[in-house]
Amino acid sequence: MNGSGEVFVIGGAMTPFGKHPDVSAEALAQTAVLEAIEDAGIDRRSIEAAYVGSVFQGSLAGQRVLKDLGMTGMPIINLENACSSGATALSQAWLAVAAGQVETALVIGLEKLSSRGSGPLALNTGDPEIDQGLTMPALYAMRTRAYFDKHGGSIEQVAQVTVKNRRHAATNSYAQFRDACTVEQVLASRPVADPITLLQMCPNADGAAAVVISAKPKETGGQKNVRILGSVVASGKFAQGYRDLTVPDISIQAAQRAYEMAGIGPRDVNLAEVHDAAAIAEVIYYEALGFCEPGEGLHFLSAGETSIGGRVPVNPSGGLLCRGHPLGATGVAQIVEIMWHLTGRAGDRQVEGAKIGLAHCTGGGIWGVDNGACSIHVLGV
Amino acid sequence: MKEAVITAIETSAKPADVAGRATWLAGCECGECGRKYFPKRGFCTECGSQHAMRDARIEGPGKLYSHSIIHIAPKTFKVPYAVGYVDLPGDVRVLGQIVGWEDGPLTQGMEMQIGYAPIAEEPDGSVRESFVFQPKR
Ligand SMILES: [Zn+2]
Repeated sequence: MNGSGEVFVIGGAMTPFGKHPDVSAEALAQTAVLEAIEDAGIDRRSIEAAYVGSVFQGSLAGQRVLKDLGMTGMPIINLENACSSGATALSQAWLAVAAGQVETALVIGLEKLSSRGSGPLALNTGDPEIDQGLTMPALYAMRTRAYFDKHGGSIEQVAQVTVKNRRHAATNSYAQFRDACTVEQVLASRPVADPITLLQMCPNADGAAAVVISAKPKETGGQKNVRILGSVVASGKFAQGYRDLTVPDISIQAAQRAYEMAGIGPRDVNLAEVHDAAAIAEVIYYEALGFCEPGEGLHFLSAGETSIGGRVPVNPSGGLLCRGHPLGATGVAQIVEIMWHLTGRAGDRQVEGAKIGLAHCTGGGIWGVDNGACSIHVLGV
Repeated sequence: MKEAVITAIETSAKPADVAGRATWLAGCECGECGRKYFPKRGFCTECGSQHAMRDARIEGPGKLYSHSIIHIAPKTFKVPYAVGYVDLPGDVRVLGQIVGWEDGPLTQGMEMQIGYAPIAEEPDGSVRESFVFQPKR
């Protein structure tokens, strides 16, 4: 038994996110796994358990990925938690390592969406709101309107989220959309669910990401070791009554627990990867994560506080809006991105001197809850 | 020994469960804590009562909380169409399609009446009818 409680992210990798119709989901994941193991500088046989997050990849996704790498026999745990599947896998792996059940574990997130056709993903039927014609973009559209009604603001200001994230993604070769864009282009893109246009929504994507976590720090030549300071999974509370769509209780609750576990506050965070499935979502999450006061999100954005160089750069990778959102892979890719920043390996988009990074995933639209599942991780060096 | 039975926690997923085509929705109310629900359900998520639910009318009009005009949707729905959250009296929020949205701007707090209309065409060609909301102008 180890059980010191300390857990390190000793290696990580991801595939480029985008449309990869000719590559299987398994092959995407295998690519990420081999690179993550190489990055960790360990023998693959020292991995004692694997935790695998995906949504639409079917039964035994992890076994299908790992058997062809000769990595079976160990426990392989497959997890589904909508957009938070990958992050939930990390949280479970963290628990196993922190508790001393295993010393070193592998976490994989994978998803191939291009084979499911274009357009919005079909949500569950039998859901009373979806039966009425609700779509995911329409839900974000209603959040946008509710935000304006409560705090003021304009859709031009919200579109700045996409503009900023495109600017961040410009040099990120793992992101699907890297071209600069203007507010005018965002608003002139195809109407999806008024006032939301296509460039305010994250694109579907294929992709995979993997990290290796261990109770044993990486043997580095002076390179910093990344520690997991907080790891939280939350579910949304069911409620029938009136609720404020600008106050995502699931993310607020998860953030409070993550900060408490890490022994830090929002002001200590040097960069964050947050779940910008829609442009408005990023603004709402600035407030939910405590980076600014409620109602201040649009101002915080336009003041440049969430750009690289600002007080708390948000989505230096370009986020879901630019990287794309292969559901199960997103949460693990966020961890890889933060690891790169904390170890000074993020290249031209490096957040200088970053010591603490926060990853936030949330999603899964089911009637009566804000979101189905949310996961937050705090990493530090 | 206790008899082995499956206790289904039923919820009525069919929102077209509208009695009459009247101005109210067929919901339910918990006899223990008073919480109202639409659609109907058997188990009270607020107080945990399992056998206290009774039928209740969820009456209109309500107030529009937020809305969107949808331009991209599954094929069963004919775009563009409007959906919105309407806050009905008694702390019940219901999502429904909004008819008559073309006739003028929709704003938060606007009074919304309950109506009944076709909302979608099923893959087999049949029409899905449902409660809808209509702005009281
Ligand atoms: Zn009750």
